[in-house]
Amino acid sequence: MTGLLIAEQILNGVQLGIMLFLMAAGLTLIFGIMDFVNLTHGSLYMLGGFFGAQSIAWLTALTGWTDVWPLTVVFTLGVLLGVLITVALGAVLEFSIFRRLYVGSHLDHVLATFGLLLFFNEFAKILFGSEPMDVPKPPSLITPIELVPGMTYSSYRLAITAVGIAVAIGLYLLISRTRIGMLIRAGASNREMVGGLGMNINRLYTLVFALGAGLAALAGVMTTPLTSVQVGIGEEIMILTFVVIVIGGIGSIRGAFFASILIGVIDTMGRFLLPMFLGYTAGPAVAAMAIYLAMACVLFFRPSGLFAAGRG
Amino acid sequence: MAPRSFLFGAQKFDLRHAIMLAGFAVLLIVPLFGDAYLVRIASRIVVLSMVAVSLDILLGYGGLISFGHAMFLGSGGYVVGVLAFFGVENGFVAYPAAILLSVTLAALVGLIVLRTVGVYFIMITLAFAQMLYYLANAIRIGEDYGGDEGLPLSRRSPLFGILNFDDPAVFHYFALAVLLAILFVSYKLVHSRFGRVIEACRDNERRAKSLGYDTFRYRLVAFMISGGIAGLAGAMHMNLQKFVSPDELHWIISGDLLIMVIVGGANSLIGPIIGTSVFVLLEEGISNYTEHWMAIFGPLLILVVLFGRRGIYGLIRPRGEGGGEGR
Repeated sequence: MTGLLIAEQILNGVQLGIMLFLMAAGLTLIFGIMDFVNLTHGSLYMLGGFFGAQSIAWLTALTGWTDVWPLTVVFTLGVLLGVLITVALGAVLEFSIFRRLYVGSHLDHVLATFGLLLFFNEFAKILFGSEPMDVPKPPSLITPIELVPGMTYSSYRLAITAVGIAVAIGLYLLISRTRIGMLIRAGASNREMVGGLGMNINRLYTLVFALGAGLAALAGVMTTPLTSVQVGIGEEIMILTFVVIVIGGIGSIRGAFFASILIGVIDTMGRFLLPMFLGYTAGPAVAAMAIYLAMACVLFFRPSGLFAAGRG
Repeated sequence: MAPRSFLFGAQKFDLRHAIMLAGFAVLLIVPLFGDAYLVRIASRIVVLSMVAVSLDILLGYGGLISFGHAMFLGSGGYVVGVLAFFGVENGFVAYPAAILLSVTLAALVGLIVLRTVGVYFIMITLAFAQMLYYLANAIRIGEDYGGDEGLPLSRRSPLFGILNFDDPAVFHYFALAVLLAILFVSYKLVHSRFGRVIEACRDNERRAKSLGYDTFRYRLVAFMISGGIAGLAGAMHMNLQKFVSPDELHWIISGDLLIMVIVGGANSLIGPIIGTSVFVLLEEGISNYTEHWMAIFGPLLILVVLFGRRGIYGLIRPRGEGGGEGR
């Protein structure tokens, strides 16, 4: 019986890890290519969740559909709409504010994006209220499915894990097989040279930022049916994403992938197992610290992460 | 360069000194108005200034962007709270214990975070502060205390039997005296040989290393000193509010502290105090009009970064004077 529970928790951990990867992939590219510290990545996750939730609510009311498959279509369209709005917002942000900051120091980045994050939190509060916003799961994904005889698992979690993996593969193909991906890789290793060779480096920056915003929004809106979306939710996942990037090595997508799964599983298993072994006072405390302790261990031996990209 | 002494230096009296003196005069006479609300704001400015000054030692002089300084605000506060819970109220025990634990924490955290530089350092200090935030949330003392409920303080840590710290004015003057002492020590520190080495590590680590300085060790000591001062400030903050909760450790507080230092002007020790005053007054001022004060403050901050990079103190500092850019 415990074996099945553990297997379920591992699947949950992988699901969290995949969501973390969607966040980390964009953020690590932005670090790697623009050398830009972006604290608003969590805000994009939160706003993506809000935009998606709002879109789904609107579309449901607009169409008035109640059947299983039409509602699933509405859900999918709502997710896409939420992602698209966030992508547009990301591009506008990059174009209007961030571009002026690349020349500044990391400290400038931190302060300006911190100010922007405070603004987005209030913006979301004014627009969507400070109460958590719920989104029902698409009706086709409500009933758990039986993976192996005797073990059922949430079909929704399984579905978003699959979507996340598909996006990860797509990202891999985009970066390793296409011309844009080649430019992104070139930008990550030497951006002055890419500009010097006559590429439009500004357009590349906007593109990378929009891509990152879209991935963050996708993670945000897909997680909403599980946890509901509220102001401040983006910051927690952003700090987790920082931990992932630091462990994986800044600028490395491969590192981000392994570190995401690692952190997702450690976090989930820690919350599940540690209270059983350490009791209900010490257990949760140690579990809350587990991923940071893992980070400390990795950094003590590999100060620039497991898969550090070419430059420090 | 002419030797500069504490507060006035060898140069002639200028605008900067006038503003500083006026500021301290205001903090000095606020309690005389007898308005408890004003005294509270003034005391908040004084106590948070201590943390801002400690962060400036790291940030302005050491070039280390610590995004986790709230952890020391919390560690100092929790030491006072836990000691009081177990019946130890004496300030002569509580304050040194707060400093000691914060220095120890800084040493442990510093051993790991100082192995990294740049963006890594920013993110890792943030992550460690967040770890302590969750720890403070998870650990409960007894049935009713700790966790997200926080710890109360029934009375402010007494120091000498005669001083009645429950009078806000008395506590305010005590805090002001502590701030002046911290300023004096910090001033001596950053203008000592040690301070020069720290600045050298910031400006060119490789050169400092090749001159034979163990830059890691110097930075670790600076981190511990900064953590100790911030821990003392945390203990004062706990005494001021008579309450400590995980909110003290929240990463937004760490960000606020960075803002105070930068907006005021890093690498100056006085700048952070100006920054803290502006921050607290703005917070009180705007939040009287709207609960969404962050919606106004956030964009203000972006404008400051884009257009006013030397901070307020940089604007009033005579041209061509003062240390590096602090980054």
